[in-house]
Amino acid sequence: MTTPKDLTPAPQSEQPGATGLRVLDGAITYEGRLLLHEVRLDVPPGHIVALLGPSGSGKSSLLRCIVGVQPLTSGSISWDGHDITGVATHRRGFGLVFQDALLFPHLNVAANIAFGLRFTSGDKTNTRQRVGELLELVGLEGFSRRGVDTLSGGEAQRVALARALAPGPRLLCLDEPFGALDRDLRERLVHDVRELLTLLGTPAIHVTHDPDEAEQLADEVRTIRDGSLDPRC
Amino acid sequence: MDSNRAALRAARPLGLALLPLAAVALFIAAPLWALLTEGLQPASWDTLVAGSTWRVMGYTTAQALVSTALSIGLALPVAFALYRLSIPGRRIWLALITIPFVLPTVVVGLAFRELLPFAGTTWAIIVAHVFFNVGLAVRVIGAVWGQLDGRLGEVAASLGASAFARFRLITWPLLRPAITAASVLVFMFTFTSFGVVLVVGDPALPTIEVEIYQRAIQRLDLDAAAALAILQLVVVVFTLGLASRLQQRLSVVGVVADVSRRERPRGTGDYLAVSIAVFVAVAVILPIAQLVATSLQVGDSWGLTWYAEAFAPSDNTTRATPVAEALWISSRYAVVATMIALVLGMLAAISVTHLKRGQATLDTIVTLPLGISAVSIGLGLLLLSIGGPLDLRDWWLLVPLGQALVAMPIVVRVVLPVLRSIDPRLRDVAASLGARPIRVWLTVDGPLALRAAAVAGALSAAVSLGEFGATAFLARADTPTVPVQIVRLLSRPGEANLGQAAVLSVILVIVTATVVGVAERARPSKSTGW
Repeated sequence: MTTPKDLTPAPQSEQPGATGLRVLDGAITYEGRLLLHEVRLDVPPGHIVALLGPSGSGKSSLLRCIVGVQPLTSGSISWDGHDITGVATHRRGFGLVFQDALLFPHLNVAANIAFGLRFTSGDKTNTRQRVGELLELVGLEGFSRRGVDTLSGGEAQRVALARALAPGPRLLCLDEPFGALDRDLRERLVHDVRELLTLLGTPAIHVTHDPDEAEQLADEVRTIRDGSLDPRC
Repeated sequence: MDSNRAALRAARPLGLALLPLAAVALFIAAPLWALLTEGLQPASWDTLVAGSTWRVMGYTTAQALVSTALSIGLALPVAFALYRLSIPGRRIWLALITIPFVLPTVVVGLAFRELLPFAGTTWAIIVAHVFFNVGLAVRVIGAVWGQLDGRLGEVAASLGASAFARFRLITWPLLRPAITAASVLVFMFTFTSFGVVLVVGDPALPTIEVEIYQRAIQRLDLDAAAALAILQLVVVVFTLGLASRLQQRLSVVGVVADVSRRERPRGTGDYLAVSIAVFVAVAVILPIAQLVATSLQVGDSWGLTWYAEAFAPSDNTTRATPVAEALWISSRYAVVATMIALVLGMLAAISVTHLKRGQATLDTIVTLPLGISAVSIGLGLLLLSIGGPLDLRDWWLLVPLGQALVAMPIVVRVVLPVLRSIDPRLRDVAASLGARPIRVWLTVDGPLALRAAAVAGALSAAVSLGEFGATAFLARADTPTVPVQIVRLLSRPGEANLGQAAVLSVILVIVTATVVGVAERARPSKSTGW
């Protein structure tokens, strides 16, 4: 991955008084069963937090609640002190990357990356330039006209990352983003993502069941055990 | 093993596969040929360029387009509610909305004639068409929608797309092939619709099918009728061609979820979709309830008078046999038609699976009659019966032959996917164990084929029982089938005729529903066909 010239770091990390994401007293039930309770989670500006836990522990559900595609059963989510518990996903500005890249199959690589730029208020004339920068950022220069079904697993995941970063998210949510990749590829991508997020100053939550991966990527690892999040160490 | 495989290939004589296919092709081609030779005459030109012909074509197309648009428009929220949301009683709602599709057309026509205050108008036709086709559209669209990965929408939301933008930019383009397929099907069915239009439509505004019928049967102008049938066929073939071009252009490799997860409804939009689905499902019951009510309503009170009269031996004025005699006639025809459709359809399906090349082409040929309207099939057979050296006009076998032509594609559509799902290696294993080809087929394909045949047979019987388009041309005056008898009763004035038509309708619905219900139960769960 190369250094971008024009991508500015996420601005909110510079502002005084910015506190980033905070989940307070979060509880999540799934089909009547209490998955998580008394969750307290802070993601300060520029910080990468890993949520570590076995499958079914509720870590993905917590991430879904933070992104807003699923409601918290109780508790609150706030950003920089403003309550966003009831705010719709598309107004939260949190990027999302799943284990399978989930690229939009009817759009090519460039259109996938440009998707989020439609909804940003900024200048829309230099979309192509911006897509080019993002492709460069994830090490896929020249891929813009490729069909998404021609990509390898690693390439697809890089496009998914570029797509999530394109609108300049306030927070990036990664749900087992490397789970479908083989070992070598995974280690390289973990390293690249860490570099990229540090460079951009974008805070992130990284959900994984792999302790090594969590250590490599995150600034802080929080473990889910028996329905609750371990206190910060 | 290798030598055995080679032996097996050699032992599948080409003739064995081609012979039944030739029979099937002849069966389909003969009435078509009769239509073409009769319709493509210099005199037909006058029919084709006549202003009235184009008014009929325009009207037929317009009502079909509106019916299609409304069916699809209604099907979208229903498909969303039933295939994307987790709602109680989902299977029941789904089963309910599928009912109309198997109901006999004239029965639905009668129900809407009694139910709608605006019966006898174009809108009545459209309402009946939507009733008929919304379930089909829901199934076709829902099958794809249910498999779309819901997380695509979540990703889009995280990128800033509102619910409307997500539908417009993600769901709609991914569903477009399915929506196109459903639209083409519904357009074809509503363009070639006959029984419903005849019973519920405006007599002064015929569609192309009704016009063909009136020219052939009432004005005895067979040349003009055949010319119109060719015109109609051209539209259908053109639509199908356009559709297949569109399909190829639109098809995308959709992201299919490993587990299709249905979300609990949340938000106004979801609950609106659920309400529409429940409304449609409940609305399906209304026409059936109307039929029962009409059959029981005697003047200002209720009773079984019409049932008694329908089964009474004679009313001494208009007829010598009871109205219900038609039930017996229909059943006999249905048994013969089902046997013909089953034998030919099974042979065709088996041949298709054993061919090395050209499977797709043959598949298309065998299903072709689905695109030819029943009215055209009836007219073609009628022309064939009077065109030869012998006048076969009154031959009893004509009716079951026509019904079999209508039902055979359905047999192929049910049986073919089942036969195709059999792992060919099973056959090789059996052959390697020393079984002769016939034995191989009987042990490997036989049991599954038998089960599929039972389902196909039941569906064929249901189709034959309710068939009206072809039968209307072929049934003799003294041997009316139930649908023919219903239309005949409706053309006569008076409460008694209406009541007895409703009685026959109720009985026909019960028989059809039973037959289809049994078929659905016996259906192998893996089958992907109809």
